[in-house]
Amino acid sequence: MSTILEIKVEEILPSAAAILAQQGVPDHASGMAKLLAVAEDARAELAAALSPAGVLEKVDPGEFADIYRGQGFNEPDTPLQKIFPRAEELSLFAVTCGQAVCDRISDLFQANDYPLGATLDAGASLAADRAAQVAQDKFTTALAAGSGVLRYSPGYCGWHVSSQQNLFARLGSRNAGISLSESSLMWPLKSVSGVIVAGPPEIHRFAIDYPFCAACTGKECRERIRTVLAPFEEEI
Amino acid sequence: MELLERIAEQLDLGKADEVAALTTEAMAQGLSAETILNQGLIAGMDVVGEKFRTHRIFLPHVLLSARAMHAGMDLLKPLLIKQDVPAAGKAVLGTVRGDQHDIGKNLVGIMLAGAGFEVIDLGTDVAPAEFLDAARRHDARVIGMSALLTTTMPVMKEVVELLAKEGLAGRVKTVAGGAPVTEEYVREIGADAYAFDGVSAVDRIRRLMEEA
Repeated sequence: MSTILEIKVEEILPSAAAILAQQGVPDHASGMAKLLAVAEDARAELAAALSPAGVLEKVDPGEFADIYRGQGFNEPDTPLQKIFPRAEELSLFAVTCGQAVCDRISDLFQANDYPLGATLDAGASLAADRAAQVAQDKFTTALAAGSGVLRYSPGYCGWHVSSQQNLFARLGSRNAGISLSESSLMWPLKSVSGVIVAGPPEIHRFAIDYPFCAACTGKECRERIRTVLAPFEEEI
Repeated sequence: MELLERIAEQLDLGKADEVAALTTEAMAQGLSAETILNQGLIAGMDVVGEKFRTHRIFLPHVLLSARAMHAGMDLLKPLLIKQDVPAAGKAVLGTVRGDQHDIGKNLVGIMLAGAGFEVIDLGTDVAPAEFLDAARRHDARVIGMSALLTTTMPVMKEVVELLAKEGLAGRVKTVAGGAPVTEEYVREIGADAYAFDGVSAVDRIRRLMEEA
């Protein structure tokens, strides 16, 4: 079953301070007024250019197994391959900020306006993540209380990016206006896709001892897992 | 204060209009394009790079200065060509095949251009053979590779292996960077240098050019 998402600009538009934080600027940085002015300009550009869209598509574990397998390039052992068979609900998702914001970023770089271009890029990345969170939240509202919900995307944690081909083949024309390149990359650039997994919170817990974890400096999975487990920690 | 120092100072402050005006003044005074470039613009960017390295300023500050740098460079370019001033070096840059994240790679390109390099930017989703072809075609001595996805990092190794296979290892140096890339990973795949960010990429590439 498909759900076309109505994502409002104000739901995903980050604050100027959040955009600067995304660029690694601490709030006590010197010359902050100058940077905030650039971030405010970027935020205004973002508000004008965003045209968010998204889709949710429920799938069963059997269908998802084929999508996950993709073109056969996944790492031999991944967290997701252990997580999704234990899920109670699975939904593919795809969200985008739209093409206009990506074009605007390119234009700004072409015009040598690097500060505004890079700041808009950071803001658009945040907005795309927020759109993915909107998709996850809308999926979550239909679930019974007590579910642990997290999303996973091709390209991360051993799930090869080429699985996008199967994911978008399954979405068909309900693709939120996102197309794939031959290398399975999404256009518009500021788009996020993957699977939302709902089930007992414990299924999302995994150790960072996979071979590919050694090469990952972000380790953002730790915070994501902590967030999903925290409300249930006493029960688990 | 001497004119060249004022260019460097205004560049450090990220003031593009002032840098352009002072560059015009320096050109009118008959200073050579190479002198203005090296002792004004690049000297200013070096100060900015050092402040960034020591966390006294942050990325948007650097980009304001880079914009000011390019305001001066745009005025100098015709003179640099006329006076036959060589670039500091040529570097081919790209985000590796399967990866479309380009902001880090763009920033490296901006910083390299600001340091006087000629940059051949291949964009995103670049196959190993495309890196080599571009390096050959432009006689570039450095290939800079960027990846943001852990699943696309192995393409960097393919580039290094292809260079070795084609007998170009050593002659064409490789620099790798991107959020998941580490010094250790770069050593493991046999690339020549790791760049944490745009500023360190300039340092590493300068060093590699000296060795080449």
